[in-house]
Amino acid sequence: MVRWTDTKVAIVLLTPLFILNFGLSIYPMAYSLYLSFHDINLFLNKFEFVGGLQYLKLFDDKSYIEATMVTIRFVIDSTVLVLFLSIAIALLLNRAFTGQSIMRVIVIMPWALSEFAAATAGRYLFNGSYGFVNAILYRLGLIEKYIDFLGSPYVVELLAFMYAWHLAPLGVFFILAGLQTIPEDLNKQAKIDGASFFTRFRVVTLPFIRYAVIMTGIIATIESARTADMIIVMTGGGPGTSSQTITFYIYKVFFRGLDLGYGAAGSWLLMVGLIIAITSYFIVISKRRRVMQY
Amino acid sequence: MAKPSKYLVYLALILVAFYSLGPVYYIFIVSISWPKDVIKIPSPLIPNDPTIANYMRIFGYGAIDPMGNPLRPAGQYRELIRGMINSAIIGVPVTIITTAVVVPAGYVLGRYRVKAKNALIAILFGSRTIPPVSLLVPFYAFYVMTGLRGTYIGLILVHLTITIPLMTWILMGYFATLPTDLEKSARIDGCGRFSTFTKVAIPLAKPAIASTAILTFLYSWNEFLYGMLLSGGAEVQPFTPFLTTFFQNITVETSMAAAAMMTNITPAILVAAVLQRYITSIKIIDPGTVVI
Repeated sequence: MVRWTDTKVAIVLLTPLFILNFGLSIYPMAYSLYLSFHDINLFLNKFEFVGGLQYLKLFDDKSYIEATMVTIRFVIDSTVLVLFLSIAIALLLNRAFTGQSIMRVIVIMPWALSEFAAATAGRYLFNGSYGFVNAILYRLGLIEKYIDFLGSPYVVELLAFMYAWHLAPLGVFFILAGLQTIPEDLNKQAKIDGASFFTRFRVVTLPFIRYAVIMTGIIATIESARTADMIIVMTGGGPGTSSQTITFYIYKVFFRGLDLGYGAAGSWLLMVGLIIAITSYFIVISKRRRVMQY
Repeated sequence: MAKPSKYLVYLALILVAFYSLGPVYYIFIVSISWPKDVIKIPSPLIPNDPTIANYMRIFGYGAIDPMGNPLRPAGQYRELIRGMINSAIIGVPVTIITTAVVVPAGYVLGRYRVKAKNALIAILFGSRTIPPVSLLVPFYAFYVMTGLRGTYIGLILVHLTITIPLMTWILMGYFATLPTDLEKSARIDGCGRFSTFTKVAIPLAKPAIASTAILTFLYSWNEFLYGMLLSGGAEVQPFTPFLTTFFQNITVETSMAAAAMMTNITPAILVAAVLQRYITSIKIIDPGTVVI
């Protein structure tokens, strides 16, 4: 008879997760690392070990470097927008008003949609021949001709706007949960003491939602660096290559030439960049926390 | 002082509602407009002559426009319906497998004090940071070699890479915040660890488990990139990735494309309505109760 200890029960209950998560994410990633050291051509049946050549090629590849700059711009834009929108909307929803639950359904809806749907919505919004934004501006008399927004130099910002539209609701509900833990008296007391809105936000509100805000920032960074769907569907990397992110570039390399080795190397470089970004986030946060304790 | 600020709140709420719904509202408007009205300048903000013709045409029925001209059904309506069926064939097993894996795992990670827990959580969170395109390359190579490309099993497996880490994460947070009193008294009454889990914890967590299952199906339904590149043609292609092919078809007018898009996002709208009650109780919200 086996004596079931916590650890044994835990192992049994975790086994399926282990097998599936390990088999479906970690093994493929290791396999992709292996592929990244090879020159592969599925059409010619070529599979040749080339060492670090694919990585060296990346550093020489103007398109990859350009894509890196676009990715950084897109990630910063999206993260800033997500943080701003989710804090603002959460503060609004935290007030008492009639129609709370219907408002919550409305706010969460963009998150329930797929990135594909968000990107398609972006096309309908900014399209140059039947777009929603054009229709509104035209009626208001602000423009005389329809503008092709998706062909403008600010296309990365438009992508970030749509991405933030899709992702911000998650942050709203993170932060809202934090806001609801603030004791009612604290805010009232601060008001009586004559603290302004911004002081109250900094002194009373922020400590309660700090963790949620940080989580939102991290998630927004990771998710926006990961996405390819948004760019594929909304702009196709265009106009030209001006909205081509790393993920989109890998997709293109992969789709055009089935150059699996190069694609794998490109995605590993992206992963390393992401890990560095996230780690430095955590380091900054934990340093800050240590300072605050003293 | 109090009164104008109240109006300001409602004004802000209206703005937020417009911001959240605007894009979808416009797709909806286009989807119930006649094709020739869509390309007018300025485009309609409210349709003066709403119609369901676009929806009929994407499901293979003809229609007659206001001028009396017949409109033919969409060219690829068979593939569109096939795509919806495929999405269900893939989504149901994905939901069942994910739930079966994630409920015990979430329970252990949320409740138990296990030595390697932080490392496990790091791996889980780590696998969430892998860009989907990065997995695409090894999966594609592997699928070509094993012949899994263009099969339902291949797509089900790849959908699990998205749903399992995410749903474990959500349920882990939920179990961590669930009160432990009932489980403790069950243990004192002589319930074993396993039966505490199956007879006490699972019934308690039923709403959260149901929400997780619904969300899993939604994620599978919404998935786009893998479905497009690993399905190898229309045969097993799910609904969402099929839409890119559908949109590129030159016989598909903007209004028909909008109708197809609305059909595609209807489940998401329903889910949003169902889940809002649980969304604050299933702590997607604060995985930090576990991590820190």
